[in-house]
Amino acid sequence: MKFDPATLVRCLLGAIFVVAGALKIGAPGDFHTDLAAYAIPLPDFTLRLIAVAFPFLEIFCGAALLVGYWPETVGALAAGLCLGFVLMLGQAVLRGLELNCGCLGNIESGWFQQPPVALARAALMLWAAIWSWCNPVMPARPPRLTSRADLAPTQTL
Amino acid sequence: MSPRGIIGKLGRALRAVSVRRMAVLLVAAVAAGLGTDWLRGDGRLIFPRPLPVFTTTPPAR
Repeated sequence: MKFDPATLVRCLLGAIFVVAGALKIGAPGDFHTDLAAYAIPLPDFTLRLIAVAFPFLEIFCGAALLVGYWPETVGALAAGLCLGFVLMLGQAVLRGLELNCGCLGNIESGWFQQPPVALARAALMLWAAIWSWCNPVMPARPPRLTSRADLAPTQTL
Repeated sequence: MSPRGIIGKLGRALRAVSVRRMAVLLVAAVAAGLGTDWLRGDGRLIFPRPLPVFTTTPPAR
């Protein structure tokens, strides 16, 4: 079996999305609190809608990345989500906000969830998402046979 | 790869995106989120929380 780095990166990204979404589904209230801490000028209802729908979007996107379903669209969605993470965390770092990034729910509130570390993670994920999106792995297909003559051996020993 | 090549590759990838499939994913996520929120009862974020139910018991004679 041929080693394919694009598939590996895509599956890794998909697994991260699935785990992150699954950890957030159980506690949307905590995720809403984390979102509110970013102090972005959005109505509270929008934040609540994001808090309940975003974990599912992450899971759907991650599962599709894992199985390679709709790669051209899901790759763009993953890159868009990662760009959103980078923008949100970037503005938090620039404004010096002290918050938990909320990326992995409320499993841990240590250095791993601090905005600068989370920004580095998000930037790495954005690079991986764009790279795997722009370098899709096409499934190996057998050559198309157009006539019975194609079935004839081309070489004789 | 030159910056022009990278931009061209990104442009081609962007043109291949299906808006319909993207909409399907977004609508499915919102529907699943709203459905889960409805089932959550006291922990709802979008739908109004159910009012508490009080039961009265007759005084013992």
